[in-house]
Amino acid sequence: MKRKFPDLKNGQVALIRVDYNTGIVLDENFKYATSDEQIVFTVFDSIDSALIVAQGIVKERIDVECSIFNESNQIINVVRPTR
Amino acid sequence: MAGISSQAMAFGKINKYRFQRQEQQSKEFADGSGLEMYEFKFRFDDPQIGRFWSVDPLADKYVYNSTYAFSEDKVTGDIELEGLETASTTAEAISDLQKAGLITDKDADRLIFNAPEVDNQIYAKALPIYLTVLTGGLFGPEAATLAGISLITGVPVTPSPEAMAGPVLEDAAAVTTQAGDAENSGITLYRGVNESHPGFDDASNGIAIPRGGAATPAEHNEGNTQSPYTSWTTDPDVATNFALRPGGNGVVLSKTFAQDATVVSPNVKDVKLIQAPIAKNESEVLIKGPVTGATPRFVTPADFTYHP
Repeated sequence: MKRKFPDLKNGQVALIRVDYNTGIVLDENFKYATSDEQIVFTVFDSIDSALIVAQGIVKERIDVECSIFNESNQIINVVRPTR
Repeated sequence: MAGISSQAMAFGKINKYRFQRQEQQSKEFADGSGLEMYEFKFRFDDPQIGRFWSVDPLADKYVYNSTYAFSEDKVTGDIELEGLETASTTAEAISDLQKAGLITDKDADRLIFNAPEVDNQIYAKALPIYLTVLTGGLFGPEAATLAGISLITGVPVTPSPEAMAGPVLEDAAAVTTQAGDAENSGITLYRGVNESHPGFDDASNGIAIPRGGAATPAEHNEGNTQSPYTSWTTDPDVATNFALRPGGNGVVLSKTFAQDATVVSPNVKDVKLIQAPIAKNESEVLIKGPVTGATPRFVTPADFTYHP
């Protein structure tokens, strides 16, 4: 990814939102992330809290899926909307 | 046209069949004068005023038309049918292809009689093929694909080199790479199209057609694809992602383009792949105009082990 990955520690995880139809990464306002000023990563202290938020997002927005990264910049979970 | 006259084409005789293949009445009187008009089967047309001399015999049936108008005033896209009514040149094209046995009756019916439901692009693509046939030029599988029709094989067609170089299959992006030209060396690009995408049928035949519009490369990259460009990527994984999203099967096109045929994209988006736990840059490159001759590779989720 072009965007700088956050500095995570002590089990923190980072959540991103992507357009379900294309996989294009969105910002926190669900707009295409096209500039460095837009916030893409949302940091959580635990995977559990990240999953709760992710599930809330996809329940509300069927065109968004969420991916959760660990501190090694690896995707450890993907939450997709139910269609 | 300089060097070619109607007399030369008629081998010394005056060719009286000219405009719209109709006989021109000219200089038929002893003193050298004439009626100077075109003799359609049902009416005489005066080319000096662009009107028929008499009322349309079908005027009672088509009251919305001017009774003297030539070709119902549609003189660029239609032809006049013997002074009675007009016919679309594209419909005539399709009919001619059908009569020549080059397309199936089913295709012809679909294209002619379902016109309102058929994408206008199909008509736009059929017309140049018709013109090529008229001029004795190329008609082959690629041209048929462009028209969205099934070519009946086994019909002898011998394209001339001139026809092969003609504009019918003009591919804005297909620029020949010059050997030894480092700046114009080939670049292989990929484009993924999902089966739910309206362009899937074209993609299955190696074709990519822009949606059309005035969006700039920057606007296209930011999501407004109403532009003269199609979106490609240097990364086959990204193309595979686009082919498989949002679900089901898809096709990945690949084609090598000359560098100077590409349009630089701001390339500001990242993509989370559906077939792997990876997010990476889109690596977008734009191509202006229609692309033909790309190699399609069909993909399905079963080709991959990662299923989130």
